[in-house]
Amino acid sequence: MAPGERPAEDTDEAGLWLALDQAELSLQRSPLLVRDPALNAYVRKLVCDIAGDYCKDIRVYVIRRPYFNASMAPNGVMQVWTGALLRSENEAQIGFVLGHEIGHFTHQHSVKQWRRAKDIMNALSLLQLVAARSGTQDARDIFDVTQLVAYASLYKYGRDAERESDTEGFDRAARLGYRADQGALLWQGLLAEDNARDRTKPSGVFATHPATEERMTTLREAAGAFPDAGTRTGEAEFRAATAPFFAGWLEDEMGRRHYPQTIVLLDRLQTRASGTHLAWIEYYRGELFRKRRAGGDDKRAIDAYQAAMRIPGYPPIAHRDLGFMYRGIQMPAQAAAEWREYLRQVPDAADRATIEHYLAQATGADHANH
Amino acid sequence: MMLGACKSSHVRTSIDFEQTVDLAGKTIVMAEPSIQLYEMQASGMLEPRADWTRAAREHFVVAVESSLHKRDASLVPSFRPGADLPAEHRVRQLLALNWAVMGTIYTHSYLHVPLPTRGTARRKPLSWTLGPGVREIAELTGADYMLTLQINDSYSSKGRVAMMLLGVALQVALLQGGQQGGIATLVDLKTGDVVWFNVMTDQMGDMRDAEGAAATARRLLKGLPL
Amino acid sequence: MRTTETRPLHWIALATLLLIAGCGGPPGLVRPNQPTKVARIFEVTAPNEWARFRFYEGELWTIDGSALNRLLYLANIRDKYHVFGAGRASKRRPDGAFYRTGMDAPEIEAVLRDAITELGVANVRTSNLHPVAIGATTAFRFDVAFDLGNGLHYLGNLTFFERKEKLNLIWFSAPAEFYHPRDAAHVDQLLASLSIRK
Repeated sequence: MAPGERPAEDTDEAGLWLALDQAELSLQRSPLLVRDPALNAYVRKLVCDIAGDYCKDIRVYVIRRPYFNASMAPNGVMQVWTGALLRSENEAQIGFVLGHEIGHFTHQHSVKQWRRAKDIMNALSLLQLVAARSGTQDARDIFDVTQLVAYASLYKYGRDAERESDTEGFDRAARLGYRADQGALLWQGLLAEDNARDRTKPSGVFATHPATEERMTTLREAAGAFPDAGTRTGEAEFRAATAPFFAGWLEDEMGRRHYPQTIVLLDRLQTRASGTHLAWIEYYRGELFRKRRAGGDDKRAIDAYQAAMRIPGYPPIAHRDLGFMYRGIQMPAQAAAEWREYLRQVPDAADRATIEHYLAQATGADHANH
Repeated sequence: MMLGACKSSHVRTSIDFEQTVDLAGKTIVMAEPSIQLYEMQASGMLEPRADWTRAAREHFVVAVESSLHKRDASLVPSFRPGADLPAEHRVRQLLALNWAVMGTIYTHSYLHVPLPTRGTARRKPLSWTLGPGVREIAELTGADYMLTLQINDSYSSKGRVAMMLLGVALQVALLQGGQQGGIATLVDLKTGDVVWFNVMTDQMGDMRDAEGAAATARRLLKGLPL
Repeated sequence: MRTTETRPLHWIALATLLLIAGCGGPPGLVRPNQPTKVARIFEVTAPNEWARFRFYEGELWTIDGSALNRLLYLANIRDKYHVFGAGRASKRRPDGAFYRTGMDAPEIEAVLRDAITELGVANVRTSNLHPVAIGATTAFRFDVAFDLGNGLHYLGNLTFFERKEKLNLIWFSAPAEFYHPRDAAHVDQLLASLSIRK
């Protein structure tokens, strides 16, 4: 049977496909499905280029969840989470991940896994989860961490399968002229982020594939097999396609309130960012320090907001939130100056009434101090 | 969360109707029916069966059709909005609201969770609505009433069929695996009022064959306004 | 089926559980046009009838059932505590949707937005944050919308203020289809009648 081909109705695999179909229906209706046509077209084209002959078997769904995940189901459903798009710096990086997942699909790793695992409770409970949870009230249920941990039992491939997929990922990326070192670079970043995690919370690196040192070695070895691979990274195209969403995805990432991981991520992205891209990263570093309130964070926050402001095209809200930072450390005159600058740059600010309230408070307090 | 589950069907009739609604000559549409049959393994896990599912879908629709025919009402083809209908479309919102209303009636009218704004009697009159927006569904389907079903049943003995009717889910409590129960409502597609509500806690028939499907449909639709 | 981390239950289930458990006593009835004290902090006069369910430091009001209209009052949320009561900031768990005394209104709005997201709903959107004078207190109000997993869209607003270094809030939400349009004006009247105990 070819990848994506459906088995006959009376086979036990037909049951797996039924559950996967149900899950796909839920995906299509999920409020977390990102439907922007331009972004979808971009991601789909990337997948199509990488998948080659298998392009027609794959249906791509971009999901708004702030965790790194990209995975393929045996029925051709590919999920790409916005957390993965946030964490990738260019097409070569995300392309490697997509190629790797396509590798699992073309080699039918999950179907073979299913056949092996069928007698194990996990596989069936997974189906029960998939089928029963599809379309429930909780928006995250089909994407819940526990769900996907259950999926992982289906997708927890052996080392050989992983190596097979890594090689395929490199192969497919190399064919398109992408640099071979980008996959390992991304994975290294994910490993650093995962190592920084707060154990009471789900990691930003979703573990369909565990981020381990051993995996890093495998990746570097696999990359070494492609010394003549191209020099492209596709950074400009990737930045252009994701620019309208970048701030929103950073906002979603901040909403996780998993600061130890977010700061590792922001520091990594900062290394190779430039222009307004960098300005947003600096702004969110400021936001993180301001909200984290750890020792020394007030100075870090102020430095970060000011670093953002040195970049042409920085977001004016940097002034607003630097103002709130000053307010938090009882520096009302400085706060007022920032808020005035914010309202000067954004005269029709939606939150003008709120800012004016705090301005009045600050200048009142300021007068009281004189 | 099923408190004091009763052995027999509960039937509530809308307070708007002292007698029951006359369905003669009316058309009914089933909203997003979704049937899946499972085989229960010795381990207790439920494995979905594609062949049984297909058979059950056919049998159940025929059985409901026949039940309605006896009341001189007819069933129009089931309403299944496609993937191209976005979530914010009114029809999708109405179908989702339908489940929220069903869950509310189940909680307050069947489980008797108190709701002082509906009086203090344990048997609350049916007085819930989806609002007149349902006319959009009437226009799309040509139906007078919308029938919604959710059945959850599992069998503990080996080899028996477990059946789950999946649609858009109800509140968390209602989709716990292993519970027995079925819920059905009938909505007037002119006003949005829920005119009939039934809860079934009996064992269901074997839906893989026509007879079993007919028995289940009859029991579920018992008390449907004549 | 849940993760091992503690997190608040889905709010519909939570509200239902509260009702079933009868936390704090049997439900009551709020009669129209009668000044009503709530959680020892708020006083409101509702133009319509509500069922009220009391619990520790708060109340839940509904007309037709909490999935269809819901007014949640929470009082005396303390410094470093999770806004919806899911624990307290600690060394081991320093970051989360915790209220801190002296937070500015936009930061409280962000905390509440994240806390609502934690409940398991999608696309939580807050907008229109603005100050509202309530007697001598400056409260803030913002609009809040979200989707359930099955796509049901909810609208509403959230009013909050600090009193004696603690956070207090009133959160109204109802489905955008039929219920919010029907009930919003009554809730606006109720909120306009709000007075805060000194």
